[in-house]
Amino acid sequence: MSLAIERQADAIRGVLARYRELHAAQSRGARAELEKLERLLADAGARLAASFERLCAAAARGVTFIAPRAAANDAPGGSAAAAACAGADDLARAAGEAVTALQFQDLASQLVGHTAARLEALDRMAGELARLPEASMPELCEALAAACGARGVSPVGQGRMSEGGIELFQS
Amino acid sequence: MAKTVLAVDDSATIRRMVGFTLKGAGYEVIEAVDGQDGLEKARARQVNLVLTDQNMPRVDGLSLIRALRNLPQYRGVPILVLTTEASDEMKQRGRAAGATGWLVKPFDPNRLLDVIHRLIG
Repeated sequence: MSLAIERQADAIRGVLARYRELHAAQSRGARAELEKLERLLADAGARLAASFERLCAAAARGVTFIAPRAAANDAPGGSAAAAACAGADDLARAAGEAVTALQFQDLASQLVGHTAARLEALDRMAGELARLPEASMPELCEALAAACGARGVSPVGQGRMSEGGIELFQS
Repeated sequence: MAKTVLAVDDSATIRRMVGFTLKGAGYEVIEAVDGQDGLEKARARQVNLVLTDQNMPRVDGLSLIRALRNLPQYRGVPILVLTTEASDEMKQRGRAAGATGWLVKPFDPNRLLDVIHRLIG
Protein backbone atom coordinates (compact mmCIF):
# COMPACT_ATOMS: atom_id res chain seq x y z
CA MET A 1 0.00 0.00 0.00
CA SER A 2 2.68 2.47 1.04
CA LEU A 3 4.70 1.44 -2.04
CA ALA A 4 1.73 2.25 -4.28
CA ILE A 5 1.31 5.62 -2.58
CA GLU A 6 5.03 6.31 -2.93
CA ARG A 7 4.84 5.51 -6.66
CA GLN A 8 1.84 7.79 -7.03
CA ALA A 9 3.70 10.56 -5.20
CA ASP A 10 6.68 10.10 -7.53
CA ALA A 11 4.37 10.29 -10.53
CA ILE A 12 2.87 13.54 -9.19
CA ARG A 13 6.36 14.96 -8.60
CA GLY A 14 7.30 14.03 -12.16
CA VAL A 15 4.22 15.67 -13.65
CA LEU A 16 4.77 18.77 -11.55
CA ALA A 17 8.43 19.01 -12.53
CA ARG A 18 7.46 18.79 -16.19
CA TYR A 19 4.67 21.33 -15.67
CA ARG A 20 7.05 23.79 -13.96
CA GLU A 21 9.56 23.39 -16.78
CA LEU A 22 6.92 24.11 -19.45
CA HIS A 23 5.38 26.88 -17.40
CA ALA A 24 8.77 28.57 -16.95
CA ALA A 25 9.49 28.40 -20.69
CA GLN A 26 6.10 29.88 -21.60
CA SER A 27 6.44 32.52 -18.91
CA ARG A 28 9.90 33.55 -20.14
CA GLY A 29 8.54 33.81 -23.69
CA ALA A 30 5.54 35.87 -22.60
CA ARG A 31 7.76 38.21 -20.57
CA ALA A 32 10.13 38.73 -23.49
CA GLU A 33 7.17 39.52 -25.76
CA LEU A 34 5.74 41.98 -23.25
CA GLU A 35 9.10 43.73 -23.02
CA LYS A 36 9.22 43.95 -26.81
CA LEU A 37 5.65 45.28 -26.88
CA GLU A 38 6.57 47.90 -24.27
CA ARG A 39 9.57 49.03 -26.35
CA LEU A 40 7.47 49.18 -29.53
CA LEU A 41 4.77 51.20 -27.77
CA ALA A 42 7.31 53.64 -26.37
CA ASP A 43 8.99 54.02 -29.74
CA ALA A 44 5.68 54.46 -31.59
CA GLY A 45 4.41 56.90 -28.95
CA ALA A 46 7.55 59.05 -29.14
CA ARG A 47 7.56 59.08 -32.96
CA LEU A 48 3.84 59.90 -33.17
CA ALA A 49 4.19 62.67 -30.60
CA ALA A 50 7.17 64.16 -32.45
CA SER A 51 5.37 64.00 -35.82
CA PHE A 52 2.27 65.49 -34.27
CA GLU A 53 4.23 68.41 -32.83
CA ARG A 54 5.90 69.07 -36.20
CA LEU A 55 2.55 68.90 -38.00
CA CYS A 56 0.99 71.32 -35.53
CA ALA A 57 3.90 73.74 -35.86
CA ALA A 58 3.66 73.60 -39.67
CA ALA A 59 -0.12 74.02 -39.56
CA ALA A 60 0.19 77.00 -37.22
CA ARG A 61 2.70 78.62 -39.60
CA GLY A 62 0.32 77.98 -42.50
CA VAL A 63 -2.65 79.51 -40.70
CA THR A 64 -0.56 82.51 -39.63
CA PHE A 65 0.51 82.98 -43.25
CA ILE A 66 -2.84 82.40 -44.94
CA ALA A 67 -5.37 84.05 -42.62
CA PRO A 68 -4.16 87.68 -42.90
CA ARG A 69 -3.74 87.37 -46.66
CA ALA A 70 -7.19 85.88 -47.05
CA ALA A 71 -8.63 88.72 -44.99
CA ALA A 72 -6.71 91.36 -46.96
CA ASN A 73 -7.77 90.03 -50.36
CA ASP A 74 -11.33 89.22 -49.40
CA ALA A 75 -14.21 91.27 -50.64
CA PRO A 76 -16.34 92.85 -47.90
CA GLY A 77 -18.46 90.07 -46.39
CA GLY A 78 -16.41 87.56 -48.42
CA SER A 79 -15.86 83.95 -47.55
CA ALA A 80 -12.07 83.51 -47.80
CA ALA A 81 -11.32 84.83 -44.30
CA ALA A 82 -14.22 82.85 -42.84
CA ALA A 83 -12.93 79.71 -44.54
CA ALA A 84 -9.44 80.34 -43.15
CA CYS A 85 -10.90 80.74 -39.64
CA ALA A 86 -12.97 77.57 -40.01
CA GLY A 87 -9.83 75.75 -41.16
CA ALA A 88 -7.98 76.96 -38.08
CA ASP A 89 -10.84 75.79 -35.82
CA ASP A 90 -10.82 72.36 -37.50
CA LEU A 91 -7.07 72.11 -36.95
CA ALA A 92 -7.39 73.06 -33.29
CA ARG A 93 -10.15 70.49 -32.77
CA ALA A 94 -8.16 67.76 -34.53
CA ALA A 95 -5.05 68.64 -32.50
CA GLY A 96 -7.07 68.37 -29.27
CA GLU A 97 -8.38 64.94 -30.26
CA ALA A 98 -4.85 63.83 -31.15
CA VAL A 99 -3.53 64.97 -27.74
CA THR A 100 -6.13 62.76 -26.08
CA ALA A 101 -5.51 59.78 -28.38
CA LEU A 102 -1.71 59.96 -28.10
CA GLN A 103 -2.00 59.16 -24.42
CA PHE A 104 -2.72 55.54 -25.46
CA GLN A 105 0.95 54.74 -24.90
CA ASP A 106 0.77 55.48 -21.16
CA LEU A 107 -2.41 53.42 -20.64
CA ALA A 108 -1.10 50.55 -22.78
CA SER A 109 2.23 50.60 -20.96
CA GLN A 110 0.46 50.33 -17.62
CA LEU A 111 -1.59 47.40 -18.89
CA VAL A 112 1.64 45.70 -20.00
CA GLY A 113 2.99 46.26 -16.49
CA HIS A 114 -0.14 44.77 -14.93
CA THR A 115 0.08 41.75 -17.23
CA ALA A 116 3.73 41.23 -16.26
CA ALA A 117 2.71 41.36 -12.60
CA ARG A 118 0.03 38.73 -13.26
CA LEU A 119 2.65 36.51 -14.90
CA GLU A 120 4.80 36.84 -11.80
CA ALA A 121 1.81 35.75 -9.70
CA LEU A 122 1.33 32.70 -11.95
CA ASP A 123 5.04 31.88 -11.57
CA ARG A 124 4.74 32.08 -7.79
CA MET A 125 1.66 29.83 -7.91
CA ALA A 126 3.51 27.30 -10.07
CA GLY A 127 6.35 27.39 -7.53
CA GLU A 128 3.94 26.65 -4.70
CA LEU A 129 2.54 23.65 -6.60
CA ALA A 130 6.00 22.07 -6.32
CA ARG A 131 5.20 21.50 -2.65
CA LEU A 132 2.79 18.75 -3.70
CA PRO A 133 2.47 16.01 -2.60
CA GLU A 134 4.29 16.81 0.68
CA ALA A 135 2.19 19.85 1.70
CA SER A 136 -1.30 19.43 3.11
CA MET A 137 -4.20 20.73 1.02
CA PRO A 138 -5.05 23.59 3.43
CA GLU A 139 -1.37 24.67 3.46
CA LEU A 140 -1.22 24.57 -0.30
CA CYS A 141 -4.48 26.50 -0.75
CA GLU A 142 -3.22 29.17 1.64
CA ALA A 143 0.12 29.42 -0.17
CA LEU A 144 -1.63 29.63 -3.57
CA ALA A 145 -3.95 32.38 -2.33
CA ALA A 146 -0.98 34.35 -0.98
CA ALA A 147 0.97 33.93 -4.23
CA CYS A 148 -2.05 35.00 -6.26
CA GLY A 149 -3.07 37.92 -4.07
CA ALA A 150 0.18 39.85 -3.81
CA ARG A 151 0.06 41.69 -7.14
CA GLY A 152 0.28 45.19 -5.72
CA VAL A 153 -0.82 46.98 -8.87
CA SER A 154 -3.97 48.86 -9.82
CA PRO A 155 -5.98 48.04 -12.93
CA VAL A 156 -6.57 50.40 -15.84
CA GLY A 157 -10.35 50.59 -16.09
CA GLN A 158 -10.56 52.64 -19.28
CA GLY A 159 -11.72 50.68 -22.30
CA ARG A 160 -11.76 53.61 -24.72
CA MET A 161 -9.75 56.78 -25.21
CA SER A 162 -12.76 58.94 -24.39
CA GLU A 163 -13.13 57.82 -20.77
CA GLY A 164 -11.10 60.46 -18.98
CA GLY A 165 -12.66 62.80 -16.43
CA ILE A 166 -12.11 65.71 -14.08
CA GLU A 167 -13.25 66.21 -10.51
CA LEU A 168 -12.29 69.26 -8.47
CA PHE A 169 -12.32 68.77 -4.70
CA GLN A 170 -12.23 72.48 -3.97
CA SER A 171 -12.33 75.61 -6.09
CA MET B 1 4.82 86.92 -16.65
CA ALA B 2 3.73 83.38 -17.56
CA LYS B 3 2.30 81.17 -14.83
CA THR B 4 4.39 78.08 -14.19
CA VAL B 5 3.07 74.52 -14.05
CA LEU B 6 5.11 71.58 -12.76
CA ALA B 7 4.15 68.42 -14.71
CA VAL B 8 5.21 65.24 -12.91
CA ASP B 9 4.82 61.96 -14.80
CA ASP B 10 7.06 58.99 -15.55
CA SER B 11 5.51 58.73 -19.03
CA ALA B 12 7.40 60.84 -21.55
CA THR B 13 4.35 60.90 -23.83
CA ILE B 14 2.11 62.31 -21.11
CA ARG B 15 4.70 64.97 -20.17
CA ARG B 16 4.96 65.86 -23.83
CA MET B 17 1.18 66.14 -24.32
CA VAL B 18 0.77 68.18 -21.12
CA GLY B 19 3.62 70.44 -22.25
CA PHE B 20 2.13 70.84 -25.72
CA THR B 21 -1.28 71.73 -24.30
CA LEU B 22 -0.12 74.17 -21.63
CA LYS B 23 2.70 75.88 -23.55
CA GLY B 24 0.28 76.51 -26.41
CA ALA B 25 -1.93 78.39 -23.95
CA GLY B 26 0.94 80.52 -22.65
CA TYR B 27 1.95 78.62 -19.51
CA GLU B 28 5.53 77.79 -18.69
CA VAL B 29 5.94 74.07 -18.02
CA ILE B 30 8.60 72.40 -15.90
CA GLU B 31 8.78 68.61 -16.32
CA ALA B 32 9.71 66.03 -13.68
CA VAL B 33 10.05 62.28 -14.26
CA ASP B 34 8.80 61.07 -10.86
CA GLY B 35 7.74 62.28 -7.42
CA GLN B 36 11.30 62.66 -6.14
CA ASP B 37 12.31 64.72 -9.16
CA GLY B 38 9.10 66.73 -8.78
CA LEU B 39 9.79 67.52 -5.14
CA GLU B 40 13.33 68.65 -5.95
CA LYS B 41 12.14 70.89 -8.79
CA ALA B 42 9.29 72.33 -6.70
CA ARG B 43 11.79 73.17 -3.94
CA ALA B 44 14.22 74.72 -6.41
CA ARG B 45 11.60 76.94 -7.99
CA GLN B 46 8.17 78.07 -6.82
CA VAL B 47 5.49 77.04 -9.30
CA ASN B 48 1.85 78.16 -9.56
CA LEU B 49 0.32 74.71 -10.01
CA VAL B 50 1.42 71.08 -9.79
CA LEU B 51 0.01 68.37 -12.04
CA THR B 52 1.14 64.92 -10.94
CA ASP B 53 0.66 61.28 -11.88
CA GLN B 54 -0.04 58.79 -9.06
CA ASN B 55 1.83 55.58 -9.93
CA MET B 56 5.50 56.47 -10.40
CA PRO B 57 8.85 54.98 -9.40
CA ARG B 58 10.70 56.20 -6.27
CA VAL B 59 8.04 58.61 -4.93
CA ASP B 60 4.38 58.28 -5.98
CA GLY B 61 1.93 61.13 -6.50
CA LEU B 62 0.20 61.04 -3.12
CA SER B 63 3.53 61.00 -1.28
CA LEU B 64 4.62 63.97 -3.38
CA ILE B 65 1.45 65.85 -2.45
CA ARG B 66 1.97 65.18 1.28
CA ALA B 67 5.59 66.34 1.02
CA LEU B 68 4.57 69.51 -0.83
CA ARG B 69 1.78 70.30 1.62
CA ASN B 70 4.39 70.18 4.39
CA LEU B 71 6.29 73.01 2.69
CA PRO B 72 4.87 76.41 3.72
CA GLN B 73 5.22 77.79 0.20
CA TYR B 74 3.04 74.99 -1.26
CA ARG B 75 0.17 74.97 1.26
CA GLY B 76 -2.06 77.04 -1.00
CA VAL B 77 -0.81 75.94 -4.40
CA PRO B 78 -3.32 73.90 -6.46
CA ILE B 79 -2.20 70.30 -6.96
CA LEU B 80 -4.02 68.15 -9.50
CA VAL B 81 -3.60 64.40 -9.81
CA LEU B 82 -3.57 63.12 -13.40
CA THR B 83 -3.83 59.35 -13.34
CA THR B 84 -5.41 56.24 -14.85
CA GLU B 85 -6.83 55.43 -11.40
CA ALA B 86 -10.54 56.22 -11.30
CA SER B 87 -11.75 54.55 -8.10
CA ASP B 88 -13.56 56.59 -5.44
CA GLU B 89 -11.24 55.11 -2.82
CA MET B 90 -8.16 56.51 -4.57
CA LYS B 91 -9.85 59.87 -5.09
CA GLN B 92 -10.60 60.08 -1.39
CA ARG B 93 -7.01 59.19 -0.58
CA GLY B 94 -5.91 61.95 -2.93
CA ARG B 95 -8.24 64.43 -1.31
CA ALA B 96 -7.02 63.44 2.16
CA ALA B 97 -3.40 63.89 1.01
CA GLY B 98 -4.19 67.46 -0.04
CA ALA B 99 -4.99 67.20 -3.75
CA THR B 100 -7.10 69.98 -5.24
CA GLY B 101 -8.61 67.80 -7.94
CA TRP B 102 -8.51 64.42 -9.66
CA LEU B 103 -8.15 64.02 -13.43
CA VAL B 104 -8.55 60.60 -15.02
CA LYS B 105 -6.43 59.86 -18.11
CA PRO B 106 -6.68 60.28 -20.98
CA PHE B 107 -7.18 64.01 -20.46
CA ASP B 108 -9.00 66.28 -22.88
CA PRO B 109 -6.71 69.28 -23.48
CA ASN B 110 -9.54 71.83 -23.52
CA ARG B 111 -10.97 70.58 -20.25
CA LEU B 112 -7.51 70.51 -18.69
CA LEU B 113 -6.97 74.12 -19.76
CA ASP B 114 -10.39 75.14 -18.40
CA VAL B 115 -9.56 73.68 -15.00
CA ILE B 116 -6.07 75.18 -14.84
CA HIS B 117 -7.36 78.55 -16.00
CA ARG B 118 -10.02 78.43 -13.30
CA LEU B 119 -7.42 77.62 -10.64
CA ILE B 120 -4.55 79.95 -11.51
CA GLY B 121 -5.80 82.16 -14.31
